[in-house]
Amino acid sequence: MTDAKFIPAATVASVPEGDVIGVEVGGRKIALFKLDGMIYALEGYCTHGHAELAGGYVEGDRIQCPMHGGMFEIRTGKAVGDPCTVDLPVLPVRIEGDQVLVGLPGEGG
Amino acid sequence: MQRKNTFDTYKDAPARGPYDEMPMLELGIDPQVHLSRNAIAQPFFLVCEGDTMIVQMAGEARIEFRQSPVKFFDAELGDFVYVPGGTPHRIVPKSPSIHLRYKAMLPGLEGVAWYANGSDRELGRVVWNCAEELPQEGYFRACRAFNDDPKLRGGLPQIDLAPYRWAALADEIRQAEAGEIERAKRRNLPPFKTDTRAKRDLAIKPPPADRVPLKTNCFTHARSAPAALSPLFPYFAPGCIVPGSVMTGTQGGLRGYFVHRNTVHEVNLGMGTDGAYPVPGVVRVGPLQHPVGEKPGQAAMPRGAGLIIITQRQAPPEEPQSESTIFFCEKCDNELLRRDYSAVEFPGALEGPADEEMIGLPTISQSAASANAFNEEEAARTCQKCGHVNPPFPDASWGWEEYRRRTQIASKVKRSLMAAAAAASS
Repeated sequence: MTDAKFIPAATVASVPEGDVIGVEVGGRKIALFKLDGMIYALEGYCTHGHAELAGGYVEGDRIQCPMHGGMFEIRTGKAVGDPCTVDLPVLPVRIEGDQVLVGLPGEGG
Repeated sequence: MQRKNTFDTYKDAPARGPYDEMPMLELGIDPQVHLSRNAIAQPFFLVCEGDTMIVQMAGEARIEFRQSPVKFFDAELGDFVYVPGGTPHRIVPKSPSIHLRYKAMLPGLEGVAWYANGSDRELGRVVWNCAEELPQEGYFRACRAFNDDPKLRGGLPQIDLAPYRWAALADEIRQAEAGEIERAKRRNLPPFKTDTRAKRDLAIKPPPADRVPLKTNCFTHARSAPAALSPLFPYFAPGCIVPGSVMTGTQGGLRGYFVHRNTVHEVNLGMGTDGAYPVPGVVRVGPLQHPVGEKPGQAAMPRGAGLIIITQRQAPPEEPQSESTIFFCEKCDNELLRRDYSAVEFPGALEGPADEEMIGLPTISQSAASANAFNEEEAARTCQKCGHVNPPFPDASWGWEEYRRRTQIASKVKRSLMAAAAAASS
């Protein structure tokens, strides 16, 4: 993703292991996860409807949407549980010092 | 037990026992929903400071009241029983039953009471503050006091405490809540609300004069309800528990898509389907801002005809209650129109008496006003981002405008009847 602009989203320490937090980056809702020490970023809203994923539950390497219980793989964004059928965009992540930077597509830079 | 924003009544009931009143939803959700599996008579009359609602999810039971104009209701599958705060009541199963009870997350005072056989003469009462003592701890302490004190028993037999496991349940609840508090801290969420009311006398007020116990069967209600979310009971004051029915599979289904924002939680209870959704007995609480309907471009939910009861608890007067309807572009997902409104006011002028019952559930009439705002002006439906002109929202299938119209007519004609009655009696 060459045209992504990386924007600070959170500190590494503020993302809990095995869990999710919601952040707003460049006016967009983003869900940040930490699995086995690695940080992942997904679009913040479920693809099935405008429900914020950060209010959901991490089950292993999946996030369960708090609205209808649909599931996505955290590492790939793949929709793996009804009623969700459209994958979630995965956003690139960089770690600089103690900062988590999230790359927003189309932001340039 | 890890509590979440959802549970399955029928899968979880076998693990529950008599009058467990187990809070099944995670901390912070208001109203909380409590699950019990009851086959024996409740060993006391329960008295809650706030309003509660009991749902008969299996079996049949009699719900008895004391110090109330209503003496009892016989409840069967799908019956919702509204119990105004301060009303002593107890459940007497006629067959093994599963009950859900809705009540405030911070229930304030609760107590148990005993009465001389079949009468309103109270023998004794034990009250506690739920901010300091869990209901299950209160039940256990009160029943032991009852057994130890012949004067309190007033000739009634001692209670066999063997079927109840309230002490263990209290430990389970405290453990679950400690885990939820810890999880919220990890996720940088604000702390959960706590009961900050000053310590009070342990005296529960009698029920409000304008509220009596009521029973509604959700199936007979839904078949004649004019709109999605039609309330089962006419109680809308602050603190009231407001269940509304949403029947799918009518008139080609509830079409259209929007996002709804609420300042109070909406507890969804699946009451049956001929398809895959809503799952019967599943309780689910979505985020305060949540999608409604089928988002364009998505595979349709595998739903058939179905019935969901959506319940909210009206906020106290010091917490302004508001909602929003938000429409999005079907092509590019850009926000088109957002209408914010008060959740306790009727949109526009309403003739007639300004009583809470006649206003009905303002959410429905406000939703009609939101759809009108979207539909009336093409500019409101034209996406500023991609230029697509979105079709009008198909509000007729939701019945909102019909509910609003009926509310206006009911208010108007009530005023004319009041005038006629006043003239005749003067």
